[in-house]
Amino acid sequence: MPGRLKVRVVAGRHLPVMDRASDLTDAFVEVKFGSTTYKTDVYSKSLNPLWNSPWFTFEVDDEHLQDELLQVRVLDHDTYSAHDAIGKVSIDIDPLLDPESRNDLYGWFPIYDTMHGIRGEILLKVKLELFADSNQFRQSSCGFKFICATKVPDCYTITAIHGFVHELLVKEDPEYKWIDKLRTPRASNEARQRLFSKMSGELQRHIGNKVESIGGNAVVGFHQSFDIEGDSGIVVRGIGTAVSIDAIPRMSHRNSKISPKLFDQQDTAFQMPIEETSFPESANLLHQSLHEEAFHETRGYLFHRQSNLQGHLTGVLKDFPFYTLRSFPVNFVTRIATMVTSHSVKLLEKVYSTAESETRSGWWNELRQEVKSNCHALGCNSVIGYKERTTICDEVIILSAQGSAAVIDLSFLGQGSNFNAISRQSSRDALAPPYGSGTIKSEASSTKRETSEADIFRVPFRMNEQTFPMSFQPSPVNPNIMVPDILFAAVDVPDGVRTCGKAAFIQARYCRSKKKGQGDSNAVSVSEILPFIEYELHKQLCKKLKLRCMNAVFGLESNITMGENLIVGVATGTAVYVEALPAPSTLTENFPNKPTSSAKSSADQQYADFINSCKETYEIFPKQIDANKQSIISSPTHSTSSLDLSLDGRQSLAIGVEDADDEAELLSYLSDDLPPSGCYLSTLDYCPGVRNCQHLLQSFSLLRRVRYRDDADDVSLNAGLRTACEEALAGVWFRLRMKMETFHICSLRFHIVIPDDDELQIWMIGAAVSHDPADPQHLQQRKRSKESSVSSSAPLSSSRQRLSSSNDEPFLRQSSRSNDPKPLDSPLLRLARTASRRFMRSSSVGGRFRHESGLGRTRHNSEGGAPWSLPETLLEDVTTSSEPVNVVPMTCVPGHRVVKHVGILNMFIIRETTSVRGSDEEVVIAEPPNGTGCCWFVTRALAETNALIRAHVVAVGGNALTSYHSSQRILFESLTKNEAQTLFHVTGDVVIVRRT
Amino acid sequence: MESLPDIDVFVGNSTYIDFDVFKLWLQQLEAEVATSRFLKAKGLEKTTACRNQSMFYILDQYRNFGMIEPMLFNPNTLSNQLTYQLTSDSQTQLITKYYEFDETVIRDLLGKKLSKGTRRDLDEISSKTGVKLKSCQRQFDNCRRVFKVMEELSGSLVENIQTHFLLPNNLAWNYAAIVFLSSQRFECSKRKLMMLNLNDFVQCSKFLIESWTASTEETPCPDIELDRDFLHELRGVKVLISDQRVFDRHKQAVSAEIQKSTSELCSWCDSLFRQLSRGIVSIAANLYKTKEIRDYFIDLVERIIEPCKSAGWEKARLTLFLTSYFSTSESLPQLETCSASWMKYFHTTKHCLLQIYRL
Repeated sequence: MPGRLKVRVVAGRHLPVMDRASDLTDAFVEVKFGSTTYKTDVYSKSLNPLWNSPWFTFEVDDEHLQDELLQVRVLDHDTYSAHDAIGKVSIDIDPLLDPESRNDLYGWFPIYDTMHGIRGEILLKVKLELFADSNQFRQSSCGFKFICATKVPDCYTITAIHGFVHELLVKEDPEYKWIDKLRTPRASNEARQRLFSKMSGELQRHIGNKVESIGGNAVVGFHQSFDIEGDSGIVVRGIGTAVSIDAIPRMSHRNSKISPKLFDQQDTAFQMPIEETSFPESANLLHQSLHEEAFHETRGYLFHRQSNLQGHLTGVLKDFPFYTLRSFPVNFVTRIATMVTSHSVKLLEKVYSTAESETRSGWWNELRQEVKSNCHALGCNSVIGYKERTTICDEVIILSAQGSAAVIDLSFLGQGSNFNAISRQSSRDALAPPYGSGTIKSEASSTKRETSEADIFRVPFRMNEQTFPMSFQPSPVNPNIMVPDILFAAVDVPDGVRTCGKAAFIQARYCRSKKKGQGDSNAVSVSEILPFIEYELHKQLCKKLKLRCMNAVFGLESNITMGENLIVGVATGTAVYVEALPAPSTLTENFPNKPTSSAKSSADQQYADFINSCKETYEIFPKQIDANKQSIISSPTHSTSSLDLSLDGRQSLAIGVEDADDEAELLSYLSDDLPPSGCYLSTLDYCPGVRNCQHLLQSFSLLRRVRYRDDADDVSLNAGLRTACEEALAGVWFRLRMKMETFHICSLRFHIVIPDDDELQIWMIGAAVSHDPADPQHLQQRKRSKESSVSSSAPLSSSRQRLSSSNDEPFLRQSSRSNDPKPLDSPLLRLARTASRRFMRSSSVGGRFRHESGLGRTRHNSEGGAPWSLPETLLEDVTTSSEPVNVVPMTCVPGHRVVKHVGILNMFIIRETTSVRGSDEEVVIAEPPNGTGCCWFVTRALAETNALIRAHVVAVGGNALTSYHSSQRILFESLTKNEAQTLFHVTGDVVIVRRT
Repeated sequence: MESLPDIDVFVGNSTYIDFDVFKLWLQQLEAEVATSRFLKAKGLEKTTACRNQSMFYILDQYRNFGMIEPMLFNPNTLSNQLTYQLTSDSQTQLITKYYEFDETVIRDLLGKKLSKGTRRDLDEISSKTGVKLKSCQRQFDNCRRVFKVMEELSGSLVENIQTHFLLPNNLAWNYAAIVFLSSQRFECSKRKLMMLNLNDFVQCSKFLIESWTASTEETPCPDIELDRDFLHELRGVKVLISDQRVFDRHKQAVSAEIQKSTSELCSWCDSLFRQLSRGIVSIAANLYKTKEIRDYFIDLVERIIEPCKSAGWEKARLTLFLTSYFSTSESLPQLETCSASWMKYFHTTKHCLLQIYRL
C-alpha cells in the first residue's frame, strides 16, 4: 500500500438551477477513486454550496495510482426520485506522483457534463502521501517523467539518449458494446472517457517500466494517440524517446568532469552500436567517415561518461533507431538526408479479440522495419522527427510512419554526455578556444563553422551507390561537399544552419476520389491510390518550394486521411532558404524564354511576378558572391554528375511544364495566398528569420467544414480542397488581424478529417506571436515608421499594404480607445468588492452572492493575490491569478523560459448534444442569442475544452500548457437525429514559465 | 466542393472582444446587416471573399457574445468564471456596454411596472423609437433584473447596484432611478410629462431617493420604500393654506423677502402666490396617499410649472420665489410639529421643480 490519496471538497459556485420550483439546487458530491466512493452532505438550496467536507482518504497501491482517475461527481439531491447528475470532474493525479512535485493539488475545476458542457465549478483539494516502495518487482513506474515536447525543456539536461520506446494497448470500445443500446448517451460517453484515461494511464505505466528497466528516467517527444476502430475496439498507442535527464544543469560542473581518456572511450562506445545494427556494405565507409568526423568534431566538447548505463541498452529500444524529437543537442545529428515514409493498409477484424494487441504490434513493427530499411538504403543510421499515425474508414486502416533519415553520432547513445549545457551554437564557438590551440582562433573558427554548416546536409551515401533519383550539387558555402539541391526534413532547423530571409508556409494538397467498397477489394484500391498521392505531394512541394525561391522544408508532416469515397493527402511544412544548400534554379537562372505562343509568355510573366513577390515578401536576397563562387568552382568538376542525376533532366528549367494540364496545375499554385505584409507563418516553434517575437498574441483552434458532392471529379475536388485550405488560412489571418496588424503565426498544425461521405473538416491549431505587446502606442509608432518606408515597393505588396493601412485605421482608433486608462474603474471595483464582502453575511438573496469575494477567483482584485489558489509559499513566484493561462502548441511560451515541468496533461473530452438544429441557414440569417446550430456546438465544445485544460494546469501548479497537441479532433453530426458529437484528445506539458 | 463552408469557427484561448461588433450585436442587427456596416466602418473591400471572411468573423463574435451573455446577467460571475479568458478591461467594458441603453426606450419605460405584461408591449416602444424589438427586450430585461435583485436588498440603492452589477457611477444612478420610479409606479408618461427627458427624471429621483426613502443606518430596509412616517407627518402642512391667518402672514413674509433681494415690484408674486402655495402645500399634504405619490410629477407640472410658465416666469424668478417661500415658512410657529418633514419635502421638491422647469 504505497500511497494515501486524500481529497477534500471545499465549495462550488455557479451551479445550474436543478429545481425549477425554487430556482435553486440541493447539491452533494461523490468522490470516487478505484472502487471506493465517499459522499459529502447535501448542501440545500444554494447555487454556491459550501461543503467544506472532511478529508476523504483512499488507500491505494501505486499501480492504481497511475491507472486510475479521481472522479468527482456533483449531483442534485432528490428525495423521491433518483438524484440528478449535474456533472463530473475527472482528475488525472499523475502529476502528483512526481517526487519533485508538491504532491498536492488545489483549485477550481469546471464541472463538466458531456451533454451540457460546463455547469459551474468546484473547489477541490487533493493531497497524496507516497510511501517508499522497496518492491523490486513492482509493476508501476510512479514519478516517471513524460514530456510531450519534441525538444528537451530548458529546465532539464539530457544525460543520455536511450532510444525509441513504443507501446500499444487494445480495449473494447464501450460505445460498441451491447449495453450501449440500453444506456443513455451520457453514461456511454462517461464510460468511454473513463476507459480512455485508464488506458492512457496503463500505457504510460508500461512505457515507464520499460524505460526504467534500462536506466532511463524520462520519455521525451512522447506522443500518444487513439485509434477508434469501431467494432474491433480502441487502440491506444504511445511512442517516445527514452532518455535520462537531470534537473537544471550547473554550468560550473562541466569542466571538472573531463575524462582524459575521452576519445578512447568514445571509440568503443561508438563502434558497438554500429556492429549491432549490422549495416550493409556501406557500413564500413560510414563507420570510417563517422569515426573521423566524430574525432574531429568533438574536440571541443566534453563528455561526461556514465558507464553504468552502457549495459542497459537492451534490444527493445535498439530495434528501431528512431527519435521522436525534432530538436537535438548540437552535433547529435551529423547528417540529415531526405524524408522516409511508409504506409501500410490493413483490414480490421470485425470482432474484438484479446489477441488484438499482438496483431497491432505486429503491423507496426512491420512498418517500422520498412522505415528502418529505407533509412539504411539512404545510408543513414537513424530516423529523426519520427511520427506515426493512422487513418481509419470502416474496416480499412492505413498505418503511416515517417521521419527524416539521418546519421547521428552514435556515441551519444547511452552515454552521459552533458550536452545540453553546450547545446547552442553560440556557446559552442565560445567554448572552442580553451581546447584548440589559441593561435588559429578567429579565422579557423569561422571556416570550421561553414564546413560543419554544409556538412549536415552532406550526401550520406556515395553518388554511384545511390538508388534514388536525386540531384546533387556542391554546397555554396563549401564546394567540396556535395549536398542535395533541395531538402525535406521532419525536424526543426538544426542549430547552426544559417538561413536567408524569412520562412514561408508551404503546403501540398492532393485528393483522389475512390469507389466505395468493402473488404479486400477496398483495401487494395486504397493501397493503389497511396503512391499517387505521395508522388503528387512530393511534386507539388518541389514546385512550390521553387516558386518561393527556397531550397529546404523543415517541420514537414504529411498526413493522409481516408474517407469512404475520398483520400486526401496534405503535406505541411516550413520552407526556408538555407545558405549551405544550392540556390534554387529560379534564383540563378532566368526562364528559358521560348515564346511559342503569347499565352505561354503571359504564363511565364505570372511565374516571374509570383517569384518576385515571394522574394520580396520573404526577403530572400542571398549573397551574390556565393552563387558566383559556386558556378566557377563547381562547373568543371561536378556538372556532369549533377545533371545526369537530376529529376527529369531539365535542370535548366525552373519548373518543368510538359503539357496543358501541368500548366493549369502550376498556375493554380500561383494562387496560393502569401501572408499579409509584415506577417509570416510557420509550422515550427518560431518563425525562422523573424527575430524578437516575445509576445503571445493568441493561440487558436479553427474548424472549417465544407461539403462535397459524391460524384465530383478529381479536378474539381482538388480545386475545392485547395480553396478550402487557402480560405481556412485566410480566415485565420483575417480574424487575428482584427486584433493586431503585424504578427506571425507559429506552430501551425493542420489536420483533415473526413467523417462522412460528403464532408471534409479542416482543423487547425496555432499561435500568433508578435514583436510588441498588444499596445496601441507601439502599434501607432511602428505604423508611422512603416508608412514612411514603404512607399516604393512592388505593385503587389503595395496594394496589400494599401489594404492593410486602410483597414487598420478604424481598428487603431478602437483599440486605443479600449486601452484608455479608466480612472473610474479601480475605485469603483474596489468599492464593489468591499460592498460585496459586507453582504456576505446577509443571506437575503438565497446565498447567490455569498462567497463571491471570499473564495471567488477575483481577477479584478489586484491587491488580493489569489485567495482561492495554491499555498502562498509555492505561489508567490509562480503566477498571479490575473495573468492568463497560455495554451500553446510550441515547446515554450514565446518570451518565456520553462522553469519547471510539472507533468503532462492527457485528456479525452467528449461532448455531445441531442438538440442540434440545422446549421445551413445559419450563414445567412441572424443568429439567435443562444443558437443551437452546429457552429454553436463546436464553438462551445472548443471553448470548454480550453477551460478544462486551463483549470487543470492551474490546479496542479502550472501556469501554461506547452506542446499542446490534439491528435484526435473530430465532429460527428447527424442532422436527421439532431445529434452532434465532438471528440477531442488533447495532450501537452504542464509547465511553469517565467518571462525572460 | 462547395465554396462556402457550413461551419467556420475560430476559438481563441483568450477571448477577444471586438467592441465595434459588440455594438452591432447589442443593436441586435442580423449578421448580414452587421457585415455591411462592419465593412463600411473598417473601410474594407467589398469583394465576396472579404465579405465572407467578415461575416465569419462577425458570427464568431456573435457566438462569443451569445455565450457570455448569461454571465452578464450576474456580472460578478464574469470575473470568476473559468470558461472564457477575458482581460479585466474587457470585462468592465462588456458589463458597462451591455447595461447601457437607448435613452428613448428607457424614457418610455419609466414608472411602468417591470412585468411580463410590459415586456409584451415592447413592440410599441420598438416601432415608436425605431430600436429593434430584441434590443428593447434586452434593455427591459436589464432593468427588470436590476429591479428584482434590488427588491430583496437593503441599504443604499446605488451602492447595491454598483456592487451587484459592477456598473460605473452614472449608469448605476440611472438604474437606481429606473428601479425607484418603477417600484413606486410614478406616472411618467402622461402627455404633459413628455417634455421631461430621462435625465430630468434621473436627477429628480436622485433627490427623492436620497431624502424620502425609509432606509436609515439603524433600520436598513430596501431603499426603494418611501418613508411612510414622513409622508404622514406632511399632512400637517395643510395649515399653510387652510388657516387664512397663517396664509396671509406667510404671503406677506414672502413678498417682503422677495422685495429684499430685488428692486422690482413683486406684483408678479402676489398674482400667483395663492395658486402656487395651494399647489405646493396640497401636493405635500396628500402624499400619504399612494395615488398622489404616483402623480407627484404630473402634479408638479400641472399645479406649479404650468402656471409659472403661462405667467412667463424665468427660472431665476422661480428660484427666488421658492427660496423665499421656504425660508419664510420656517419661522411660522404653526409648522413646528412637522418642520423636519416640511424641510425634507420642500428641499427635494424645489430641486425637482428647478430641474424640470424650462420656459
